[in-house]
This record gives sequence, C-alpha cells and structure tokens, in this order.
Amino acid sequence: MDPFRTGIRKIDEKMGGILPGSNLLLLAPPFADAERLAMYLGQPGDSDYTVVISTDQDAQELVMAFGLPESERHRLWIIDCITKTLVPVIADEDQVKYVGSPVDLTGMGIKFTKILDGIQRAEAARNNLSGTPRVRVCIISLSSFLIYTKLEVIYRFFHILSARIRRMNGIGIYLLNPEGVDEKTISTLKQLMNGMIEVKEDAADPTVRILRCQMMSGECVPSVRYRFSGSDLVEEP
Amino acid sequence: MIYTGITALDEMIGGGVPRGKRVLFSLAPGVEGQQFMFSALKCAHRMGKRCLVIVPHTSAEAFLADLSATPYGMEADDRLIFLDSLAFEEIEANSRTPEAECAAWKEQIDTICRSGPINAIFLYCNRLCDEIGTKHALALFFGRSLKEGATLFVEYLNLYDEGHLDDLTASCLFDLVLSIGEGYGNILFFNHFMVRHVTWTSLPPRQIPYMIREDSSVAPQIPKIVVTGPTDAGKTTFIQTVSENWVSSDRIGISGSATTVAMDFGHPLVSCRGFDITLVGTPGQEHFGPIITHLLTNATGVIFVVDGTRTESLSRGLDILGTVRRMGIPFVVAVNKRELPGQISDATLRTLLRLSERTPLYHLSALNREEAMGVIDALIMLITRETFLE
Repeated sequence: MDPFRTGIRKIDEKMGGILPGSNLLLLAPPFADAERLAMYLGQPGDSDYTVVISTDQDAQELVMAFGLPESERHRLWIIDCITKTLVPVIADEDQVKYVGSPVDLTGMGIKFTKILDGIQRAEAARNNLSGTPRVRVCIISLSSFLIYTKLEVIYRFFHILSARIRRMNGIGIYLLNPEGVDEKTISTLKQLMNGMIEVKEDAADPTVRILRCQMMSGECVPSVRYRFSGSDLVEEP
Repeated sequence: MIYTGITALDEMIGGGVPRGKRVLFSLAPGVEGQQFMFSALKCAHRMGKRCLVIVPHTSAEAFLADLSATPYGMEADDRLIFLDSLAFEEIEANSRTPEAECAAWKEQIDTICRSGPINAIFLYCNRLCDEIGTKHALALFFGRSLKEGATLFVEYLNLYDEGHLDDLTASCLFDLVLSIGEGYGNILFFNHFMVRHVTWTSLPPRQIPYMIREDSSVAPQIPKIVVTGPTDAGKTTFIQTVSENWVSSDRIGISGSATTVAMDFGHPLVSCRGFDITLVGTPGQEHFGPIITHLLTNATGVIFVVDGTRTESLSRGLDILGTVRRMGIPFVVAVNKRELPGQISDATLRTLLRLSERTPLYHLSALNREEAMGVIDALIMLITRETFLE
C-alpha cells in the first residue's frame, strides 16, 4: 500500500510519506497553530478520506478551515463533540455526526463506526469497489478529552481506536498540548503511537515553527522550518 | 415486570425483567447497541412507570432529541426524571472529595425519591464510575433497587475485555448481564448480544446476532436455518409454506416429481419469537452430498425433515443426519406427511435414525403453515434457550 503523503516535502521525500497503519502524536504548544498543522496533515488526498473527531471546533468551523472545494467535500467527515451542548436538538447529517459531549465515548465509538460505514457506501456508490477506502483520522484534540475524562479511560478508548486505524491501514493524527499535561500522561499516550511530530517555535522568527518527525521504526526528519500562508504550509530554508 | 421491548430477548428471559432486578447492558466500543437501553426505557415509560434517567454525558434535552427520530422517542413528562450533565457538573463543582460527591449524589436521588416512588432507574454509568469509582457509583443505586423495588438498568461501555465484565458481574451482583459485541462468528456484518448471566431463569450463554433496522430498531436474527433430509421428504414444500419470498431450484427428477438440485431459499412471512429468520433448503439425493455439507457450514440450526410414511428413505436420512451431528449443529426432527396413511411409529423412527429419547419428533404436514411454524418455533427454543441434546 502506498504511504500517505503529508504535503511536507522533507517528510515525503526523506521518508516517502507516512506508512499506512500509523498513529502519530502531534505535540505542539499553545498558540503554535497546531490545529492548522493537524488539518494540513489530515487533508484528504485524491483517493482517501478524512475523519475529524473534534472537541475544539464545531463542524461548520472545520469545514471552513479545511477549505475543500465543493467537488472534494465528500471526503471530509466529522464527529462534532461540542455543538450538541449548545444546540441539543441538532440532528446527524450524512457527513457530520454529533455526540452529547466529549465524555460520550459510547456515542463517539458508534458514530465512528457509522462514518466508516458511510465512507464505504459512498465509495461503492461511486463504483469504486477496489476495497477499503483509505482514511486519515484527526483527533483535535487529546488535550480536551483529558480535561473531561481520566487518563486511564482515554488511554483505553484510544487504544481501541488506534488499533482500528492500524487494522484498516489508515493514519491517525492525535493533537496534544504537552504543556497542559504531565510527563506520565505523555508517556502513556505515546504507547499508542508509532510516530511523533513535535512542534516548537523558532526563537528567531515568531511566524516560523520547527517540526521534528520521528517514527518508531527509526526514520526521522529532524527539522522542518515552516510557516502558514493562508492554508498553505510554506517550508522555509 | 418491565419488558425490554426486544421481543426475542423478552422471550428468552421469560417475558421481561422482574421488579427490583438489576440489569447490566455491557457495550463493546463502536457497537450500535444503545437501543437495548432505549427500548427498555421506552417500555417502562409506556407501562406508566416513574423512571429516573441518569445521563451524565449529555443533557436531558439532547438525550430526548436523539431518541425522537427513532422508535424509542418519548415526550418529556413528570414520569421521566433526569439527572443529566448539568446536575453532574453542579455536583462535581460543589464537591471537594469523591466522598462528598457520593453524598451529594445520594442526596439528589433521595430528594427525587421523596417526591414519589421510582419504579425504574436507567443509569449510563461510565462518567459516574470514572468520577467516584465503579463500586461507589453502583452502590448508590443497588441499595435502592433492593430496598425500594426499583428495577435498575445500567449501560456500561466496556473498554476492557470479557474478563473485566466477569469481574464486574461477580462483584456487583447483577441479575442479568447482557454483553453486546461486534461480529458474530465469521459473519462479521452482524453484531451480537449474549445473556452471560441471569438469576431468575436458566439460559445457556449463546451469541445472538442482530441487525439495526433503517428506523434504528433492533432486529435479532437467526441467520441460517438449514432445512435438510432425504429426497421427497417435503423440504421445499416446508420452505414454501412458511416463506413470504422464496426461490427454488426444483427440476423434474427420475421419480417424475420435482426435486431440488441446488438449494432453496426463503424468508418466513413473520418473524418467529421476535427473530428474523432465513431458511436454506438442501437437495436430498446422495450425489449432492458435498453441496449439503457446504450449505450446512455455519448453520445456526437444522430442521431435519423425513417422510413419515417411507422407511426406505431413512437410511439416506441417517447419512445426512450424521453430517449434521459431526458439525455439531442443533437440530429438530420434522416428521412430514402426517395426514397420509401408513405412518411409521416413533419407536421405528428413533431406531432407524439413532435418535435418543430426549430428541423430540414433530409430526406435521408441511402444507400446514401453523404446524411448520411450530417446528421453527421449537428449533428457535432449542437454539436460544436450551442445552443442545445431541
């Protein structure tokens, strides 16, 4: 199976992209525009789909943030964990499912299953019967889940979800603010991952960030300097 | 008694959940099984019971809104009392320790109970267990069920394995434990439920597959009942009699009558004991032996049909029954053509088919729908409620 392209040249050229079945912890401090990076990495490619589980932004904001052209919108599916707390009567749509709150892990698991089923049906309706569609899953963000639910429960839930992503040859991107949690939490969650992307600020230029991508297999891209221009990621020398 | 509203489950547990019993619905992650709790709540409410619903993961309004588009929709009224995420957050904010939180919950529940008796409690327990510990969370409600006769229904997302569920069952004295999981043997598109433990009736632990219908209701399935037996026993007639839709592959055989050369297939006109059933019929002739074996693979049960007037067909019948026995599939014996003269005695049938005394024989005319459905009914009872006899 072809690796997933990240759109970040150094990662795609040096590592050939991210191998299917990977789960990546995206560690980024606050105000590092990490949501935008998570969405950039999670942008659906020509032949794959994106599922976002969001506790930070509602579905409308996410659709805007992804900025997909109309012809590609069918590739973005969302589990919105916040809107129902404000609009209790909101009903599920084909590509957007709502759960009662970020603590409703039962609902989240069921809606995730329904979305995968929906993607499979959508692919079949497009006469693409070549097999399981490729899926990128973005969790935005683990930090919010940890506010509401204990680490052990979150670990168990995402242990099951990450195993599912591995089995279906997708990739998972899990956003976490390391400054909001302790070392034990980070090391516990790292056990679910087979790669990590760490984001730091560039001391010399506040508009520039530096990311480091390290896979458990040993592959590493030690330093990518980048900034966002609109929704485009621009790599700096 | 409170019905779960899922007919097949109610039938299995003797009609419903007796007053004051404690029920656990344990869900595997990602499996659409919340309908079991929804259905029980809907039934209790419709039966005029005063229900306390604890939904710490969402608001009462959102909970009812989610149900509104399903068969479990309910209007909020004074018989539906909620402790929802708002109550949870208020208690959490005002309690400094888990002990204080426990006491605050107890006080809240006491206040509700003082306003009138609670007949049934529906507890979505994960958030509460996470907050104050499983033992303390369940103890808040177990006592009330024991002393005041409130029937307790608990939904629990089991993020661990079945061993964890066994531990929970052993330590918490539930009267009924139903595990709801994904997959069913190698038929992956079905989910299943299993009664792992029940105190008021005897029931073997057995996976029961189910599907969720378009309208979100639960449809328990018996996915493959195979109707087999020797040639001209009446297998195709049996399937045609009970089925709304059927397909047959009959051709004129050497005897001059139509005989099945591949398979028959049928859906019964009505579900039986709350189950949707699919029937598959085999040919009977010896040279179709490999096809019969394939059709029997993964069968949930077998209706073994013999012609009750022809002993000469029974040796072929014994061969087929041998295959069924080797594959360990539960079966019932349907003795067809009871309206014709020259019936073989039960003793002779038992001897020639090597059936034990415990294996019941059902005499019927495969042309009579009621009698044929009676045989299906007996097989479903065997599959779901009894220990297999052979």
